[in-house]
Amino acid sequence: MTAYLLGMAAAFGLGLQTAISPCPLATNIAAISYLGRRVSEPRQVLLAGMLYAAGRTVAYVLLAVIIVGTALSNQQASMFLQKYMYKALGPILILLAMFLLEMLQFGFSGSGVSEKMQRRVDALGVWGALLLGILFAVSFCPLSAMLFFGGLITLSLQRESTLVLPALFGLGTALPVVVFAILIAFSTKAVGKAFDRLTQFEWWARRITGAVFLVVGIFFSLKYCFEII
Amino acid sequence: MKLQKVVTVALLLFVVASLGVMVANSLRPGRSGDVPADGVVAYFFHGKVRCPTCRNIEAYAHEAIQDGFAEQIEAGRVHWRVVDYEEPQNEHFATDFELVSPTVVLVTMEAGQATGWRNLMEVWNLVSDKGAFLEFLQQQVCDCLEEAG
Repeated sequence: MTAYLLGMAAAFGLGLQTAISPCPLATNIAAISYLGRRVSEPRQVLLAGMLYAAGRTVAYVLLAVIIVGTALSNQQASMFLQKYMYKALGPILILLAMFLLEMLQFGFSGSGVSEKMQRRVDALGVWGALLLGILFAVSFCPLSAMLFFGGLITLSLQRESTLVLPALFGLGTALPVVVFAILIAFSTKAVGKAFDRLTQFEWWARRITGAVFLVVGIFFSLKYCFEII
Repeated sequence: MKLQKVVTVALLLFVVASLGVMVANSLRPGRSGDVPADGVVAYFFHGKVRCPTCRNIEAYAHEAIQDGFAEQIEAGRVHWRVVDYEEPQNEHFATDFELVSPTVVLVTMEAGQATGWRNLMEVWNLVSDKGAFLEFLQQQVCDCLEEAG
C-alpha cells in the first residue's frame, strides 16, 4: 500500500516536473492565455481549466492503456509522437489563432444565424479547452517524452496501474497552467472592475490570446517545420 | 478589410507550406553514420526538436569522452557518434536500444558486431550536476572497455 502511494506521489511529481520544465514553456503560455481569456466570467475560466486538465488526463490514460494493452511499443509511440505532433503544432496553432482573431469565420449570412453561430462558437470555446488539453498532451518534446515514456510508463508497468498513475501524471501537468490562468483571470477582472473597463479588458484578453497563438505557431513552424531558427 | 484578407491568405499559405516542408523533411534521406568494427561506441541520440537540457547532455557527454579517453580515441578503442533518430535510416536504433527520448548509449563492438549496449537514461537525472555526470559516464565507458577486453 505504501509503495502504491509512493508511486502515486511519484506520478504526480513527474507531471509537475513536466509542466514546469522549460521544454513545454511555449505551449503552457498559449494554454494559460487561452484558459484565462474570459476575464469577466471567472466560472468559465474555472470550467475551462477543469476541461483542460481533463483533456490532458484522458490523453495520458489512453496512451498508457494503448501502450500497455496493445502491440504498440513504448519506443514506437514515443518516436511517432515526437516526430510528428510537436512539429504539427505550429500550423495547428496558426489556424486556431486565425479563428480566435476572427480572421476565419463560419460562412453563414443573416444576423440571426450569425448570433446563433457565435453562441455555438463561444460554447465550443469552453470545450475547446478539452481539445487543447489533449493536443498539448500528445505533443511531446524531448523532456516530456523522457518523463512520460521513460518515467511514468515504467512506473505504471511496475505498479500495474494504467489508469490511476497516468491520470495523476495528467493532473500534475495541468495544475500549474490552470492555477496561473485562474490567478491571471481573477486579477485582471479585479483591475478591470477597478477601472470600470471590464468589457475592454475582455476584448483585449481575447485578442492577446489570438496573438499569443499566432506568435507561438509561427515560431514553431519556422523552428520545427522549416528548421531555420 | 482588404489587408485582413491578404494577411489571412498569407497565413493559410504559410500553414500549407509548413505542413508540406514537414512531410518533405520526414521523407528526406539523411547520412548514415559508419560503425567501427571494434571498441566502444558512445552514441548521443537526438530528434529534430533539441531542448536546452538535451544540448547540455550532448555537450557534457562529448566532454566526458574527449577528456577521459583521448588515448583510446587515438587508438580507435573509443568512438563518439551523434545520431538523429528521426532520420529514416536511423529509425531502427529506437527499437535496437529502446530509445524513448534523447539519451546516451554505449555499444560494445567486436568484429563489426554489437555484443552489448547500455542506454544511460540516468544522464537526465545527472545533467544538473556536471561533475557527477562526467564521473558517471566515464565510469560506464571504463566498464564497457573492460567488457570488450
